[in-house]
Amino acid sequence: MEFIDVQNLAKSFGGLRAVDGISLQVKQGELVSIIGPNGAGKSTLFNLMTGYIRPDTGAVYFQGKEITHLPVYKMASLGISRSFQLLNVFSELTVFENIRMGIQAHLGHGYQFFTRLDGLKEIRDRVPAIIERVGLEGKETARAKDLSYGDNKILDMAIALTADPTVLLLDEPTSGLALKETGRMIDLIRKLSEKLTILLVEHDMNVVFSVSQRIVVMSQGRIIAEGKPEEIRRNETVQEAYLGGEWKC
Amino acid sequence: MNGLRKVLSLIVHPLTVTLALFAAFPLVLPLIGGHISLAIEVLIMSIFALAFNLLLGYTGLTSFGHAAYLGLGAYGFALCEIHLTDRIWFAPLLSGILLTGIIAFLVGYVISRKRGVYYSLLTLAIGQLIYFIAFRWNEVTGGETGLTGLVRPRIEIPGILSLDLSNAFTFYYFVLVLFALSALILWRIIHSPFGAVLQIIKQNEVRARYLGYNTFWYKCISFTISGLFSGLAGALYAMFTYCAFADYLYWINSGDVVMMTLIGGGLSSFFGPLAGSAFFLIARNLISSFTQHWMIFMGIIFVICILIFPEGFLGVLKKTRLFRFRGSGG
Repeated sequence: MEFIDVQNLAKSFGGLRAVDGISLQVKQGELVSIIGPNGAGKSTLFNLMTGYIRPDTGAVYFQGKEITHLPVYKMASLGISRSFQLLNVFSELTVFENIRMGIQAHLGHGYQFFTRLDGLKEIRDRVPAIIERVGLEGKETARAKDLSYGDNKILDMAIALTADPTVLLLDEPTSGLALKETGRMIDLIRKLSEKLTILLVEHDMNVVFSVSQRIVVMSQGRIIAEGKPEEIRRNETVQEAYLGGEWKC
Repeated sequence: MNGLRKVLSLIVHPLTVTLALFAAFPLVLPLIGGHISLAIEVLIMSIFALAFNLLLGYTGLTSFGHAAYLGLGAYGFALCEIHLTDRIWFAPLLSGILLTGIIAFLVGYVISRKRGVYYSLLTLAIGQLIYFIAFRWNEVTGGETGLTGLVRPRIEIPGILSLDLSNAFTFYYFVLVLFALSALILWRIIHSPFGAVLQIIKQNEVRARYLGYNTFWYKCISFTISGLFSGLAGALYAMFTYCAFADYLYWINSGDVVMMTLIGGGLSSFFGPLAGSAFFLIARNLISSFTQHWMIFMGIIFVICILIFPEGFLGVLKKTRLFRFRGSGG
């Protein structure tokens, strides 16, 4: 039984085969990177796996149980969290409040109508741990929309961690980041990969080759290569597909 | 000194200030030529606007058919009084609230999976459907004539209170008590964990779902709560006018509450709908006493307000930091 088992997932939008029969197995604790040009179907794969879009065919299994048709809001309770390619935080809330909303969901306090939000101590007490884990100390009271892009990306990650996940799907966590911030993100991802299973969609090859245990290459909705980083680097099909592509090697 | 500080913070709490203003309102209104009945209408519509803003300002859902819930409250009140009893003083009011709440829940259940424009169009269609039923179902709703000849039940709390509501001033302060309760309950809901979820649904529903919130139920419950308080406003309106008409449900009234809420600054302030409702009704009253073309002027005022300050009156005041209140909302 694989930890994550994707079997023959397919999804078409009109005539476009966005994901065309993807099968993928991930072991617990692995860090697998998914790479490929824009339009290869990587984000769509994440959308399919997390119930945001319904697949046309295929199935997804997590720890042996089928999760293919489960809705998005059930993912967190299964321990599956996701970060996003385009910023997807609550921009009007502070860093503290953003994280608090995640913990509130995790602890199941959503349906309390009359308690004071500030009064829920057990939620409040868990926020500092997450802030420390991602390195956002000192910025708790800053509103997300006032933060730098890099800090927002880290916040996005922090929110994903509030569900205490066992699986993290990271969608281009370093896109748009400056060099120093990219280093910070790599360190964070490495730290997280010690305990969590991570699927990483990335364009920055430095990041990919420095953290991945395994790399999957997608193109036009299909997997065209799979293997250890050194194998992929040498693979001719991959080199051919991306000559002059967006890769920064 | 902590006790004293708590008392002081309660006194300057915006809710307390608002209640004090409304308590003084009927005494001040005659100075600009307004009658107490205008004050009563403002107060009742304030409850409706607060209920409406729970959906619009806090959950981010635009309902274009909300007058239906005002009307249902009125009909619920009327039908209970006519067919059941007017002896138990709170029964007709409760009937108005419950009838509206139940129907709002059913409507919410149907529409809460939809987003954006589809959601709003559905609310408009359903609102008009309810209006149409009210207009045509002669045997129950009185059709075009509506239900008339209602009474204001005498409030009897054995040993404590026996109140005749036929006097306009007495009725105003009766409504004020219910308004205070409504405002307090809605304030608490908004500042609760549940209210926080509504607000993140407004900002980013997808992310809220990824966090684990089943946003369908939150939207449905929000709509239901909005319906309950709209029903209260409607029942009070029937009590105020002594009748229930299909007109109350007409889509133009739905548009009015949208205008009130936006002008007042409901999108960024809890009290915005109150300012908007007062402004809208007083302005309409004043302008219509000068000209029969008051609708044109109201339209122009609305356009100007939205162009100059889209955040509404209280939204602008908040920006200038005249009212600084700790915590979200206010």
